[in-house]
Amino acid sequence: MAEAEEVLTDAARHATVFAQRLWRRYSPAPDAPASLSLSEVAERLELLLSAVFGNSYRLRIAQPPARPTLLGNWFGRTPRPQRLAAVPATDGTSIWLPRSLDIPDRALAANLYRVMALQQAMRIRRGSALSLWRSLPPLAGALYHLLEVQAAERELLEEMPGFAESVRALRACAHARRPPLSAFGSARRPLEARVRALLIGEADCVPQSPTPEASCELAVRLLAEWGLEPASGGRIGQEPLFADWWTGMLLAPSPHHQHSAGAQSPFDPTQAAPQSVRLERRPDIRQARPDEDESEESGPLMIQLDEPHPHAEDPMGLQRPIDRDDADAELFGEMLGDLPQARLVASPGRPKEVLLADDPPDASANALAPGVSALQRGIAYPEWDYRTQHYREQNALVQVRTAPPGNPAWVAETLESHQGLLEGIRRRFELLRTHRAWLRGQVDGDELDLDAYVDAVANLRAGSGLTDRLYRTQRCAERNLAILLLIDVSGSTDSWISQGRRVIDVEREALLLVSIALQSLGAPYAIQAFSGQGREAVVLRDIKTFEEAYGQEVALRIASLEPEHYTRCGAAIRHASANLMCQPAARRLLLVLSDGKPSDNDDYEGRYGVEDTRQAVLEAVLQGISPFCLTIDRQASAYLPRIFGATRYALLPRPELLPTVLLDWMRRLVQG
Amino acid sequence: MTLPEYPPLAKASEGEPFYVPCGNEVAMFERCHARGLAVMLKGPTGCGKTRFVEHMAWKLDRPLITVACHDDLSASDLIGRFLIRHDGTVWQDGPLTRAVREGAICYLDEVVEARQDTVVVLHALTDHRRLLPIDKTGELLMAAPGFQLVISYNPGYQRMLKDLKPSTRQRFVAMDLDFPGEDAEAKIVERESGVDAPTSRALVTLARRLRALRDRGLAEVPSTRLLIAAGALCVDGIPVREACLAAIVSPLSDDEALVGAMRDLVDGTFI
Ligand SMILES: Nc1ncnc2c1ncn2[C@@H]1O[C@H](COP(=O)(O)OP(=O)(O)O)[C@@H](O)[C@H]1O
Ligand SMILES: [Mg+2]
Repeated sequence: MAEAEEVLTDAARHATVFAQRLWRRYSPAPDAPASLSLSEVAERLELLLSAVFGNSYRLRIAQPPARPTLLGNWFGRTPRPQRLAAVPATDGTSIWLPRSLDIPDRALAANLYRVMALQQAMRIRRGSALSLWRSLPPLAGALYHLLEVQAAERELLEEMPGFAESVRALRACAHARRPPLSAFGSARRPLEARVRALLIGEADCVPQSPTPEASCELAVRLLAEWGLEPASGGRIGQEPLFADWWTGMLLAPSPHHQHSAGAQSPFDPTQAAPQSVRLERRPDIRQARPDEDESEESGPLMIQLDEPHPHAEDPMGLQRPIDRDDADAELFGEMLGDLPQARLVASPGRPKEVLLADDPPDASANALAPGVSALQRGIAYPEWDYRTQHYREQNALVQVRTAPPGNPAWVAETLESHQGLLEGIRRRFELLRTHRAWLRGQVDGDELDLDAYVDAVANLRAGSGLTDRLYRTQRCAERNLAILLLIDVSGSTDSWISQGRRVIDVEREALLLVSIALQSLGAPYAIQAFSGQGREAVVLRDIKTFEEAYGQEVALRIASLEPEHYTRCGAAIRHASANLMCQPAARRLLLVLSDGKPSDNDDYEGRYGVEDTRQAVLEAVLQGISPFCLTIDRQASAYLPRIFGATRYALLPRPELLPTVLLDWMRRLVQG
Repeated sequence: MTLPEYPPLAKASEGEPFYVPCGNEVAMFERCHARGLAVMLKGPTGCGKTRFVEHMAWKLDRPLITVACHDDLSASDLIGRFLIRHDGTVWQDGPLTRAVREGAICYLDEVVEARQDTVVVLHALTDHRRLLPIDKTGELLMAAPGFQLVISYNPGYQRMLKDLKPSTRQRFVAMDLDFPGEDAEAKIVERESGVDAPTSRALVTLARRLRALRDRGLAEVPSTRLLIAAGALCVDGIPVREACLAAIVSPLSDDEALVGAMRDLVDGTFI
């Protein structure tokens, strides 16, 4: 499994098999570290869009165009100047924004991002990308585009008049960044002049068009009226409009790609792990030409790593030399990055290289693999797909299993070696226990306090006034708490920490001590252990149910815990929450003990898993559960605050301390 | 320094309490009242439940006795207790007993906050005989005509954490109240806060956008009450964006991204 390095950047993987060294090395310009990046504002933008439009749109990273020299020459058609920077875009469903704006002023950049996102969303709402404008002649298409941009912006400002200033700022930036008029060929100049006039708000003659269809008609009319058509047939190219941050781009609606039938290859662990490299940009997805599959000569293919493993194939029918297995993935990445387009196909087998892209092609993961329904055993939970901002229904199956009894000798040994510690802990937990208590001598209460009354009457007779503290009341200082401990027993707990002990060893020990200590608290508690392999097999082992009392059987089950599979936390947390909600308690505590971030053998690795887990935690919180995570992963501070919130997790610098720390936290949480 | 004049927030006591109906709740309530049925008002905080009851009490010409429930509320707080004096003890009716005797509308606000054993005393009042047994005096009170029990609760609030027992819920006719429609809410905010019509309209637009963030981490969405508060601050000369941040955004969340998005909404909604 490739480890995703960043959590917030998308690390969905694309497997590519690439066949040709046609293009030269691509040298990426390093990001200026200080400027604001999309990942910093993405969440805020997503929330803003869903509040304004009542709809959530997937935010994706816009890619810079393929480098012009090679391709311009290749197709020989695109006249200068050519766009170099990434621009915002929409295909009618998703929104693409540049990864970074490279503006030192972070507040301005945030403002620009906001307007770009809102404008794109407004274009989605109008359906700008979905009309038949592509059938217009190129210049009319450019006018259509401008009309839509203008109309969407006006609608936006009608609804959100407060953004007028930000819109002006975006226009100014876009204007300043356009190449000089002299850079345009004479054929494109009249159009360019119009664009500039629009940008600085001096084109008052542009009528407002109500719908994209009306814009199409208007564009044709204006084309004639304005006389933009070059007289002597100068080169205007297929896309005469120079796109910038304001105009953005309208992309063709994304096609649904097909799986090749029956192409399902089992994961073969014996094969070497694929090389992986990050793509600076990935080619756009190209539709297959009708004759392409038959013809010898096929265009670029790019293949996505969902099952079955897809791969990319080269254009021009030049297949990747089979003998070049040692070819370096980095080079392929660079070459693929230079392709303007590639076709997405899926093919069986394991990829040779894995290329990571900021903006993965639309996943086909929504489609259940064939045969799943037959296998359906267990409890189905949905998973949150942050890319679509929707749940994938019944996406994960939780299989509840019992734990077999483990080694009694281990239990005896552990208890003996921690005898002293255990006694102390027990006493401390007993102190936390609560009782119903009578409060005497109250001003108000359920019953008369006879003792107080007798005293009071005596005092009254003796000549002092009557006190009003004559009642007693029953205060239930009762905690009314239910606790569920959810333990990660994924494969990573197999790793060694110190003194020849593994994470799982320490976890087991801590668990045994805590489950004994919790007895003296008197609150109902349950223990579950989880791991998972694929979304159809999230295994949840009941170590102790709420109903069951602690006893040797529970201890033996704890003793049997061994590392298994991966960490598909979302489903486990949802299942645990559901269990916890069945407990009639005023407070519900969910304590997750984990050693690493969400992972699985599919796209649960990376941001999808983190976001799904975060959503599962959020659901728990919204249901009134108090979740808390204790972890011994040193990298955890990179993703845990995102999942659990800043105050709901603790890192364990020294795993050996787990038993004491866990007990300590239990105490704090129970008291809190 | 002179203090500004504060416009009154609501004029509940003088004349008809201002209430804009959102559906058929008025007719429904009248029918329940005529039949002596207990009513449960469900709806988010600040959507007008209390105001509705005030309005209905006025309309039906019944006294209204309101009890704000809290987790220390005991049965004797509702029913009554013996007061001890130097010369003996006197029984004092609690608010519920008073309402039962006088034929008033008794409104238990946020009833889920009350302890379960307290809520149980309501049971006998909700079946057809409408009786209130008072253990301490041995009295068995029959509810006077016009007595009606009304409880309110907010289903979203601490969902599931506190809930009414199913056996309690069964005894009430439930009426779902929600935030008023856009026009109605704008009218309410304008009247209650005294803010001008365009600002009131913009406040309502903002609220609708913020309410779309429900379940995206915003456990409580902005209520009509918060809008009125923001409007009132504007009337007092606070700039509208600041008023919204203080009265609406800040109270709702501490989460950075959420607060950020809400700020953006405020910025975009007002000029
Ligand atoms: N339908 C309505 N008609 C008139 N005023 C309303 C209405 N809904 C809400 N309000 C206003 O909102 C404020 C809060 O309503 P309130 O009845 O206290 O809410 P709740 O009891 O549901 O928490 C009221 O003081 C009133 O000014
Ligand atoms: Mg109220």
